[in-house]
Amino acid sequence: MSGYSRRKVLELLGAAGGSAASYQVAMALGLLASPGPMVKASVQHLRDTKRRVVILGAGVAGLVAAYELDRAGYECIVLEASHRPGGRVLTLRGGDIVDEVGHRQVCRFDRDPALYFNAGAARIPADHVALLQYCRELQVPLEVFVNDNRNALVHDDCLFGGKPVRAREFMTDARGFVSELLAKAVLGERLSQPFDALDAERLLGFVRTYGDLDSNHFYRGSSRAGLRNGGFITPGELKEPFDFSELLNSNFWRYQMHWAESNDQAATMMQPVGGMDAIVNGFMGRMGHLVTLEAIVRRIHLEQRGVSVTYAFHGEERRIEADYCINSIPTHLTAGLDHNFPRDYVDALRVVERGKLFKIGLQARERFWEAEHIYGGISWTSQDITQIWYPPVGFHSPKGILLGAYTFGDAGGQRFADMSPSERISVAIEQGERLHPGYRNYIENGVSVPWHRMNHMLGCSARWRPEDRQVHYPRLQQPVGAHYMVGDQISYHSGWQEGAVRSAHFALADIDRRVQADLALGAWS
Amino acid sequence: MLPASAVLCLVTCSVAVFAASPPAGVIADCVLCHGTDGRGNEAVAAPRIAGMEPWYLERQLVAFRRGWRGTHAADDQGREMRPMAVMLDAEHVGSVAAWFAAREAPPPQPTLTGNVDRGRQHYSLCAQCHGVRGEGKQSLGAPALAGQNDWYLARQLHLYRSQYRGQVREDSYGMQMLAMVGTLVDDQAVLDVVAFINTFTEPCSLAVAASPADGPGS
Repeated sequence: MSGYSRRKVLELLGAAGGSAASYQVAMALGLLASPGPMVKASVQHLRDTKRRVVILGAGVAGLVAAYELDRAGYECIVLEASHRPGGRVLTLRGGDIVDEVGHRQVCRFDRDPALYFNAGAARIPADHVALLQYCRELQVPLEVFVNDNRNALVHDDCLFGGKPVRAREFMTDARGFVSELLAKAVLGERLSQPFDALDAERLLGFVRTYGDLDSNHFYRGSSRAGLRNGGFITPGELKEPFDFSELLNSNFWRYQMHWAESNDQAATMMQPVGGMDAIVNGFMGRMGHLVTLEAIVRRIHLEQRGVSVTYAFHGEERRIEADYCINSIPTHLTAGLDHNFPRDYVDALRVVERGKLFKIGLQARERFWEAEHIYGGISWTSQDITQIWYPPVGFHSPKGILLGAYTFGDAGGQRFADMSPSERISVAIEQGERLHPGYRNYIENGVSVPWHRMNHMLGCSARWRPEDRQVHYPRLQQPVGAHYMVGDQISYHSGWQEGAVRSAHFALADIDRRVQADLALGAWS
Repeated sequence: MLPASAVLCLVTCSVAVFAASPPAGVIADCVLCHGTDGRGNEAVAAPRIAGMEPWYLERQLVAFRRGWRGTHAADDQGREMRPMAVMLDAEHVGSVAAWFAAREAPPPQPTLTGNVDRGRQHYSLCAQCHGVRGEGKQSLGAPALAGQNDWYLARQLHLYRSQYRGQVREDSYGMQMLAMVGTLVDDQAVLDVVAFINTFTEPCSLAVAASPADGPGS
């Protein structure tokens, strides 16, 4: 190494210590922009003219579209295939139906409002401002969601023979080792311009505090990892640091260690009080009368003017003509409908891949994890269940709902989907046992949600390959005739409610522009 | 006045007339993946079943129910189908098959390309059971291939070649097909023969709408 530029140091820190390190330095060096302003839909009121919009799907995108258009004087009809609104905002409570194709389940949780499971959307970052604006407007009370808990566990078959450690132990030691290396590198090199002696001293100071090094720039353990003993009325004793090469064996540092650093996962995260579906209920309270449930779309045809939609409703076929159609049906299911879309549009619908994300909720008779000093947050494991979430609220109450699995990968999701619902729970308990011995004694019942097998959805979340983002994504983002695809699938935030809200706003802005242009020309009014 | 094809169906498809209609909920489950009227949906790997021979559809439903199909670890798509067939009430198997046999849908778009001439040579063996124009022969238990999604045909040939389908002794038709597929020596041979099968149905482009209602602002 012959010298460091500011940028180079940021890169090094980013690679070694995760984005938190580079973020803090960048803040210190004044390189970051501030977040943008609040985002709202703006649809001008129709006044004395009329327009009809048919909205397919009562998930977040459809609800937002109907809510905004209804307020602006549009006639809205929302068709929802399922027995419930919300789409992938699904909060399960005792007695609820899980409409998985091939395995319809009933949630067996106790009938207690505190015992619920957010099986779909489950957390809201502070910069998802369009969604938060609706929470404010619809008076949906929010509370903190604990996404990151340093007392939660890291379990990896490649780490200490599968013996779990606390996240704080792993992270503190990993940072300590990396900082010690960095300090050696900085001490051994003369810093090039634009660093002066003062900068170098600050950088060393930064590295020292980042890794909690001693005054000689050695890492000899840190109370950040938790104390072995004492610390209250007797002196605190540090834990012996782990062997760094053992930490490197684990996959935890590949992404889970930096989980809570990422744009959408960093504190403060939030959740609606009592379940994510409070947002759905908030919308439904304002525009629920516009929604027809169990209306299954069969045909979407672009007409000379507007769009016609045919749907099955309790065995009867019905047809609607509308000036515009806002469609949040998953792209992979829209592709199978009777439609007359042009070929390039159909090609775009077909290329979007569907995720196989999978979740399990478990009812525990006792909050045993709180006895292990775990209050909220996520434990990570290399097993198929991938993670265990502890309830972020209701501390010390008698029972609790754990998230017993949240599988991101296709292979793991498929393995779970292939099992019967009761087998899935058994496997989740068996795997949880590796993190919490005695786990099985606490679990009373559970419910599983394989999103790629859920009726009327068959996928979560939409996956765009980079090359398809270039051609097919812009095609679907733009309307075909008077038909607009929306939903988190038509955003760069697939799997997030904010993506759904923004996609709806995008379509609404275009409809508003077209309608206002019509009115200005005196046409069609 | 019934359309000509419906009249034809009343005459030829006795099952369609006499079997009770399947419940709307059952059809809704099928078309979720297989598309409106069973037209097929590549995006979820569900083949066209509209207009398929009822005896063949019924036989495949039974094959899925018995685990002859849709159980192999490498057959993700088949494993998605299997629970649907299993949960179907036995009494509805016949009526579901008949219902889709009586459906009409536009012919599927070709999605694969191969060497049609080489495919024609490979197909001479296939023709003995499936017919020279891929029309199928019920007497031999061989379904029509013409009008099927090419990606589905290719996928099934791949499953047979890998012995993921047709490997169960009780599945005599599957075993028979497994023996025949050995003549398709590689992936290219599969593409070629499927490209030739595509020539049995004229490619029919979907009605292209010319963005009719684009507003004056655009």
